[in-house]
Amino acid sequence: MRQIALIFIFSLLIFVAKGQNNTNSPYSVFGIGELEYTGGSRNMGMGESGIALRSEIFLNSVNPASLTAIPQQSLATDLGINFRFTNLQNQYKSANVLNGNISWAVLAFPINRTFAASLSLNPKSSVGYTIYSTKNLEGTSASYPVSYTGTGGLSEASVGLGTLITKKFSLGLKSSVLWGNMAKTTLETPSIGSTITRTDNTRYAGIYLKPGFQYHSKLGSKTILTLGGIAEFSSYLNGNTDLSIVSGSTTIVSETDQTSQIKLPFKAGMGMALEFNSKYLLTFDYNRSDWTNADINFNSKRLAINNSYHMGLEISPKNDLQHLGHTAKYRIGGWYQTGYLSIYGTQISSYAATCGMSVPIRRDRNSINIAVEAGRQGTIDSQLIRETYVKLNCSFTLWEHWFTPRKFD
Amino acid sequence: MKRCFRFIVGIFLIAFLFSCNLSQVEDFTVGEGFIDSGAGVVLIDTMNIQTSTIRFDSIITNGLTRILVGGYKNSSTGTVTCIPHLDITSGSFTITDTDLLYDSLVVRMVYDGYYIGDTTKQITFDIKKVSEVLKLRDDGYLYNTSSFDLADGNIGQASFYPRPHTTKDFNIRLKDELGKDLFYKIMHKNDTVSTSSYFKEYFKGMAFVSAENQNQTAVGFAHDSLSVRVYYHEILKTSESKVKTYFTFPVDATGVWYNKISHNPAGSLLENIAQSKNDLPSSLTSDQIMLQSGSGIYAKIKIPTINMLKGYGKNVAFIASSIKITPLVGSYSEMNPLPDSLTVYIADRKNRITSQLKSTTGYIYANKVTPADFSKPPYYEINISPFFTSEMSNLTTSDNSLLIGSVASKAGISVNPFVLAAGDSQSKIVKMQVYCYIDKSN
Repeated sequence: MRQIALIFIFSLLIFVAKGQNNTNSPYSVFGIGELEYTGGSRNMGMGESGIALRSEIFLNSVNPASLTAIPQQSLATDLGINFRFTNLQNQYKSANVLNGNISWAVLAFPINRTFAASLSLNPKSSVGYTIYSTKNLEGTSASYPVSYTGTGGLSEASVGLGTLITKKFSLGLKSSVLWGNMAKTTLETPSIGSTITRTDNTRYAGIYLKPGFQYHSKLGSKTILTLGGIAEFSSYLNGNTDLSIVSGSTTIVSETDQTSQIKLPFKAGMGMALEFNSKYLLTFDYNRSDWTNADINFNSKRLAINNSYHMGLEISPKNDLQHLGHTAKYRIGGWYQTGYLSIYGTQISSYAATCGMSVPIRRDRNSINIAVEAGRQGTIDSQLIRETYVKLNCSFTLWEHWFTPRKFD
Repeated sequence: MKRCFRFIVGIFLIAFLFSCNLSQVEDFTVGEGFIDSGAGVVLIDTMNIQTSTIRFDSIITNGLTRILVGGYKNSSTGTVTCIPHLDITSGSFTITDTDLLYDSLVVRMVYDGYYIGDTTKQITFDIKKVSEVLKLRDDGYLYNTSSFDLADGNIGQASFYPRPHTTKDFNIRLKDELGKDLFYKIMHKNDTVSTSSYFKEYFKGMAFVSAENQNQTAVGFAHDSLSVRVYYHEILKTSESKVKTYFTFPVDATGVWYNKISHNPAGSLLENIAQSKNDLPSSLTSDQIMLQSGSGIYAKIKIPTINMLKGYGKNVAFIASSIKITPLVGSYSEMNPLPDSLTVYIADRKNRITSQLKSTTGYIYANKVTPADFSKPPYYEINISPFFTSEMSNLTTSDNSLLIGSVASKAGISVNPFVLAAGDSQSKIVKMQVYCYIDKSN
């Protein structure tokens, strides 16, 4: 019951916190904003990998097929928060910003011996920027100043389902609903005429499906190999925009409920996990999403194919099989992604090093998980912006038993 | 477990409070086109513009301050002939001495400074009596095309070298037949010359009639300076010197007068204007368009597809638009100087003026701009934004157009022709710039 109460409080906080700026990244101007990492604290500590991770004590939101690893008669809750310290820098200035938000709330439980389910709620993306730029006055060689501000973001609620096809092969499907608001204001100040103020208030809603599989097998007596794959189907977000274009103080366009669509690209990922002697766990993930097929309401020439590479290692020093839950675990990892934006011919790549640990609390399989990620995105060259950040994630994984009353004949 | 629960709830509440109030959004300056949104301010200078020269059937020419006499011919607009009609009124005469002798009858006027044409050439015209009463039409106006019956024969003839800049009296001798009759009536205290209604029956008015192509110069006289004088002198005693003096019949300031201005485009670029319903496309006039006030010739600019601007993108917000027109070099001179501004009218499908171009702050004129670089010719610039704004709301292609020329109510005081042409080899008479905010995204 307490888990339910926690989830409830948590969900409430997620909704209330949506009004805040959870990002300060100028890159959040593009698409649906800066994507939040929601894969889980363990995955984050291991270089945001985890397509092939399955565990009896941690939840893995990256691959719904991993739900089948949850032991019978248990109920798992995972709640996470994020703090992110970012240094934003370009040729003109450097600024430090601190953001904090709730990163996820997940509830997972087996339904029967072959099916397991999860319910989750998390922020999906955040928008928060003020950008000054110039724009070419089309048809001339002149430019004029323009400023952009934006706030908002998307939330995600998901239902996951995992099923054991064979003892070694699991399939999963995560169905998500995305929704949220984004308020964007553009001020264009051409030298002729008055300032054009454009305000787009868009409500987005959409669904997407994410199937996954995992296959695990023993290689020799002490080595377990797990292979996994995920896909995120290309999905559409329907936008409903209240638009106003004001020239000086005269409203020229004022429309409500202009419909638009954002098309998120198909994404595929595959991963591998190797476990040696129940002590070392090594993961590799590769993801690919072709954003050139996406449609995010701006020039598609600015979009690129995003390849990301993830690697992680988890060490369990006290390998006590009898008291598995009492063993602290240490993690290290890193990732690199080529980025889906290509501005001024430069692809906005990013990379990070991660570490983390899980400390069991009191008894059972409950744990506090900490993950720290230090990374960098973008460049200060070619009038772009570089973000250097340290992200701290803290999550709690709590387990409860579902006691099934025995029937006596 | 209970403590653990409180601990977790506590942590999250703190986290939540934190997340409410961390950093302000920092503003950053990035390079040009960082966000290529497909929306922005666009300069459009390729819209279809149709240009033509129109001639109004008639323009109002009564009650103006200037009497236009003479005529003017040029190869662009053709020949104009100015035939002012006016009337004089009765005078009041005090006769103390009966020993007076008639001398002469004279029309006296003062130049008002206006002229067009060759002032080294003589101006010649006949002065004829009007044989019907000068009166306004039912609509309260007289037009350049209005005409009245004139009596056969002259009451006088003028032939002179114009000196438009002089402020001295200019006199035209009229025939003594009329003069003697007037003198007789004055001397005999006849009511005809002292009561205006009787006088009007006696002398209905006069017209200064130039024949077409008779004159190469048109000049202006101040209407209120005109009067008719009957000169006389006392019968001389031998020792006395002759003292000339006069009786005055003043111009009728409350009466009816107008400049009849006839236009004959024969031999000019506008030769066929009548055949094309008084609206001649510039393609038929050597890619030139003309304006000339007195003959009712206006330059017409039509932008038929303004309403299609809305289709240039998903969201279109008009910002501003201006047009530039350049007078043909050589079509203006010191004698025919470019005015500082021209009037801009909005006309309908049938070239009927519906309004004068105006913004919220007042009328908008075509203003002359003289480039600092003297090698470049002067041009006129017109802010046509209000016209665009109203035309954009049209649902269908518009037939409205802009007419450029002089103020219509004063068109009858001048016959200066101006020619607008492409300033360069692009053969575009009108250069238009339209600034719009256009959202081309989908």
